[in-house]
Amino acid sequence: MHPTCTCPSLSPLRLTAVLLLLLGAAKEGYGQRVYATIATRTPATNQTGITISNHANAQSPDGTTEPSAGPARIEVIGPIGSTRSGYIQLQFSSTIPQNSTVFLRVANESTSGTGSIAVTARSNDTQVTASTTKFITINGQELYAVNVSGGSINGVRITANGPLLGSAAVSVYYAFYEPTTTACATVLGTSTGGTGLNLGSISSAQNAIDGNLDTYSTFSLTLGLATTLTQTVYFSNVSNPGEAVTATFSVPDGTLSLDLLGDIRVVAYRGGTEVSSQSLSNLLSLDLLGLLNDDNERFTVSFTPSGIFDRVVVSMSSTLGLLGSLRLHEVQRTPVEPEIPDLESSVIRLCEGETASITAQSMPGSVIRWYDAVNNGNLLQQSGGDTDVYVIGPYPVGTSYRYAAAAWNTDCPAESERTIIEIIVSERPPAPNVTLNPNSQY
Amino acid sequence: MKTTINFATLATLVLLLTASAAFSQVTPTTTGVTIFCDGSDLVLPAPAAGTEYVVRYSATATDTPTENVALTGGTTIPSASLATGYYYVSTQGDATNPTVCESDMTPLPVYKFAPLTVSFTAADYCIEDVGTQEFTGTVESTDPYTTFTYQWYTVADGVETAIAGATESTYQPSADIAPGTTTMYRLKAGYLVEGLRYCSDIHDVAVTVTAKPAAPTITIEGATGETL
Repeated sequence: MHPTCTCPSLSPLRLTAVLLLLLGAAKEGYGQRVYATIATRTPATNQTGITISNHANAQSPDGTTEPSAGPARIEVIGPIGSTRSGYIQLQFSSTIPQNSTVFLRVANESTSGTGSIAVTARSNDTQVTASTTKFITINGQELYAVNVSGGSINGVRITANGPLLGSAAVSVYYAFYEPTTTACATVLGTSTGGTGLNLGSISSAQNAIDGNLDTYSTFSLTLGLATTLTQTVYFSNVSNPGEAVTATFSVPDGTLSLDLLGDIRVVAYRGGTEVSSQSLSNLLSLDLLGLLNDDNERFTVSFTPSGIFDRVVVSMSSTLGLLGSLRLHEVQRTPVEPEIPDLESSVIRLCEGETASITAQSMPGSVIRWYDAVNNGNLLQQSGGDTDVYVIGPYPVGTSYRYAAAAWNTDCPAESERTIIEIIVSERPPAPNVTLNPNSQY
Repeated sequence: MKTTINFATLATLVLLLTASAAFSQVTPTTTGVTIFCDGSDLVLPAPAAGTEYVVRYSATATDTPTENVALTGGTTIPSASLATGYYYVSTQGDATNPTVCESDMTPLPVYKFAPLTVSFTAADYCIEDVGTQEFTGTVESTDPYTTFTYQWYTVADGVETAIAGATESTYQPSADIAPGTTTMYRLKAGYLVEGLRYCSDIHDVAVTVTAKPAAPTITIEGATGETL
């Protein structure tokens, strides 16, 4: 029996169609994944009731190459009157940075009786207190997640315990972590779940983490009453302080009641602990509300959680029995949207023939990209630093334009929410007819 | 490729540039110029409702004036800050209409004359010397424009009366003035621009014509007749 997932979105109810989608993007890797390089086993040789095979298959030859020879395996059958245990310890070449999350990929985990599987963080042979959760399970691919906080952790140990009349077995592929300070976030996978009656679903969940803003998962509440649908996106490391949760949505043709906006939430978690939560109605600016009225038009929202996070849950609830459908195009970890200090509102009013300089600032380390549209559009200018000036105009009279600035960590897959600037061009009145009184004549 | 500019070409270029600069400056005869005297304010008419003036200045004609001019009461450029040059006047929405754009600009060429001072010298004269009398007026001004206009007057009881034909800088008093008469003469002079006169000054001098004395009575004590 698998341990119950403690992820915030994974309800045990009927809608927990849990999906693990370890995408190509995770393997392509924007971060520098670090693998354990030493696999040891205890006992060193197989004994009665304890069988450990191919333990060396779980170690990376150089710390950067994913082991691919196949899983190691631990099988323990409890004796009469005592307990047997066997474990594989995966050791990293150096101490794992604090706030990292170490992932241990396992498969074919099974227990019987009071048999159990335990994963612990280690400082060599010493167990270090660490939060360990069963991460995601699907199609035989399972991950344990170990949050590294406190102690000099340099390895993880997976132990199969076979007590009286119990047994435990598990296959072990490898262990890895990603540096905590990567500018780019790697999405490890996603899962869906929910609570309430079986009156809704989430389809094509993987499309919300494929790095393609044109694709989407779809939340559908068919007759929601006290029903909640959730989709969780897991990052392979924790965010850097100040980074934003960025989510992109759209609404299929007129299928969402605006009353539902308050029941759509975006929640950041660190492990199983909620960090910050925002409702979609709070995140939508007036400009984005306009996009909401444009059927199928994407709108991106973001917020900066109060602390670091490593997963994001998007939930859609219906407490009023409202129908609704929502598309989730992407959940990303990005810089905060650029600020435009001199802009009191999102509107710049220009007169015919005038120009204006817009100064934008983004998070240190990021650059600013200027576009001529809220979605897609042409890249007009890209800065070399976190402050940039873009010159607009002159424009003919009676026209209006829309620009958008996004913050981007160079070479990362995701940009921030775009800061929207509306340009309204007004007519220039004719020159005044001024007649002076030549009162000096005599 | 080597490019050579000879001195003649360079001189011509300098002349053209100099001429161009001179052309762009305002003179009293610039088309559309409004002339002001020292001490006169430039007062704009009230702007249209909901708008206010924006005024910029340039000493020479330009499409991009940059020197903003402060207005007193929204319409007045005080004399103290008024100068010869181009004032570019536009309107924009006032505080209640901030979204109304600034209009195109109306250029107002302005020429401000330097103050001038007029004077003449005249003294009492004997009627029999009237033929040799001539009052000579003098104008002092720092203005580069030096075309002046003159008019001589007589002033009686505070009322000036132009003397017909007396429009030169000199004036010969009439021989018809009765001896014993004191006449207040006034010379008014100003700048003359295309037939119009501007920025005048006056100078008054009282002149008395004295009579020719009567023939003296002379009694000569001649030889007394003798009684023989």
